[in-house]
Amino acid sequence: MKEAWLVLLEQFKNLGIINRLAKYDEKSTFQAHILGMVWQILDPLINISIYWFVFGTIMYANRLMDGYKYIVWLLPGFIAWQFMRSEILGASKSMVNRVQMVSKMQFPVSTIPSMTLANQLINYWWMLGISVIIMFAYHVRPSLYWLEFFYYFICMIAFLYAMGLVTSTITVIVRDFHTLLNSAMQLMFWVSGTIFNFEINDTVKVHPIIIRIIEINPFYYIIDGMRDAFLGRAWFFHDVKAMVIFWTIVALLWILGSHIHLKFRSRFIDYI
Amino acid sequence: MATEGATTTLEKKLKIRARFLTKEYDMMKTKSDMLKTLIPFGNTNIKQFWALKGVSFDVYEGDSVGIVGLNGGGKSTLLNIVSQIIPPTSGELEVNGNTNIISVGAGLNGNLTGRENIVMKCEMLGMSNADIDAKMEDIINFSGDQVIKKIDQPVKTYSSGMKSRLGFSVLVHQDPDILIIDEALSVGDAPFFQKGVARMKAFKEQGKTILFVSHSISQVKELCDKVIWIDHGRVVMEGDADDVLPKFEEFQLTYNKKSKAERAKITHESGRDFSLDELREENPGEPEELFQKKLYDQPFTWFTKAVLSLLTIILAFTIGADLKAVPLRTAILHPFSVFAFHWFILLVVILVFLMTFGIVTRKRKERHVLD
Repeated sequence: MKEAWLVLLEQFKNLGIINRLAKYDEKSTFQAHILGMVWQILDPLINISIYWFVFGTIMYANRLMDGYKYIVWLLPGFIAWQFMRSEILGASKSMVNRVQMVSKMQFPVSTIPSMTLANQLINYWWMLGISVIIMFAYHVRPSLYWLEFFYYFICMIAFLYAMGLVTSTITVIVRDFHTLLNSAMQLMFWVSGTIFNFEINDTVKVHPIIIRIIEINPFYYIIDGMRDAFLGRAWFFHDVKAMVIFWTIVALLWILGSHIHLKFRSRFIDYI
Repeated sequence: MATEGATTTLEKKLKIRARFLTKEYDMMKTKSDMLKTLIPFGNTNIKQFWALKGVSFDVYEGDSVGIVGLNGGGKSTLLNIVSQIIPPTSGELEVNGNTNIISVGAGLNGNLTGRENIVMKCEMLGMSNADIDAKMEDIINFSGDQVIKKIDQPVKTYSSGMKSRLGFSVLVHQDPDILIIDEALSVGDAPFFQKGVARMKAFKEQGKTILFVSHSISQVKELCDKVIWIDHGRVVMEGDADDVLPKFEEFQLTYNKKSKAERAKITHESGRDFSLDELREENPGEPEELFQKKLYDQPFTWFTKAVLSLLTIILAFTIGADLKAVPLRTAILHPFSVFAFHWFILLVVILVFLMTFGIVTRKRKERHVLD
């Protein structure tokens, strides 16, 4: 328990460093690109247009979702998913990429996954801004429900950091873990309701157990929650069960993650 | 004479105070061994190796202390602990002032330009932006002509000598109270080496504390007044450079005559021949905490285990309630509406079985150790 607290404290103590160093990841990745960081926005935008076309116009045939057009329904969940996906994959590699650099200096190693988080967050704000404009264009108007965004945002950060702590440590030792994670995220994409509306699916209507199984998945909790917030569908405190499941998963990940992280740090010279 | 010595040490400020530092490593041969060491449950049968076995010393302001010893004697581990890169397994370390470690192969990001790397490294070391701007030119100039020419090109195009010079240059331009140097002066060619030595001497004249590890005894002689000789994780001798260095040289000569296998055997055995209890018994009267493993090297505490199990139970229970579509209030009031009673019994049986299994294996392991 003490470990979890220590790691949390270290994040807040080093917020300045995290923010200042976040930009270097990107600079280094897009060093030889002409458009540079624009790709971080362009890539999801291309994806969104594909899903909009394939699912919105062909599969759902312009059917309304919760009273809105498919694109409006898609956006809040999809950008959250995009952010979570790139963050989880980035964080799992963050330690491997930087461990050589920090092995010879005094550095709060537990902030390395947070740097990826801070870095990806910049893109998320951009995407969110673009989405809100599109949503306005499709007659979504701000409501009190939008305040829920802050709750789900905190959920998202807590979950991602806890995941990052676990995955980044394991990836240093077993690189395969990153590849595994990559495949797992592919699967998660399809079962987290990023592009499908499970609630209007006929099979799911007959077997409600399917949606209940999907609901356990923390990604679904966040993606669905973001839609609740922006489309004004429901309040987060009305579904206590989902809340309990989500936060216990986060707490478990956090305690385990901080433990293995500190153990790793105590002897990380050996692991690299 | 003796009183005079005592007063001078009283005047000087204590910079580093180490008490019974130990460091335990796992002997990890394969990747799966590495994974096992991270798993917080159960007993792993991975062998332990003690790199440091209770090292104590004091370093005062203005001292320049050389640390000498054979390969694998624990010098680098000690430096890493003193510079707070890794924590000790047990013992107490007090460092007054900020430390800065300079070592070979300090990492640079190959995709960024030299200038960006300088800014990034400085930021990582906690320098402010104004400071970085002020020192930028000095840092670039110090690293030599070749680097100046390529400063705005990616570092991956640099030669390895240029990279190390750039890294070294960034580090010597920090302003630490305590400078820790890990064989960094062997970087680069002769002129650069001279520049480095001159810089170190300037640090020394400013009254800064220097800790210096090197294999080259001549370098240690040139820079250090005091020497700590470490062998197999213990301090063999500590004192003025003129007293310790000749003895160390003598020892090195006799050691070099031994065969390779013999040497490896000595190192291997000495690392395992130690326990914290022994250290405690050797030093009665010292506080108990000095000989206890720190949080980092402990397995899960009982409290954490209890919290984890509680969380797991809550999670399983809520998922159960969710899958059966029982409202949470009903589920709490009538827990057996979620889990059928016979499943509950089965769970208890499995838990009891696992616990007895754990206790039995631990007992067996203890017996094994006693044998």
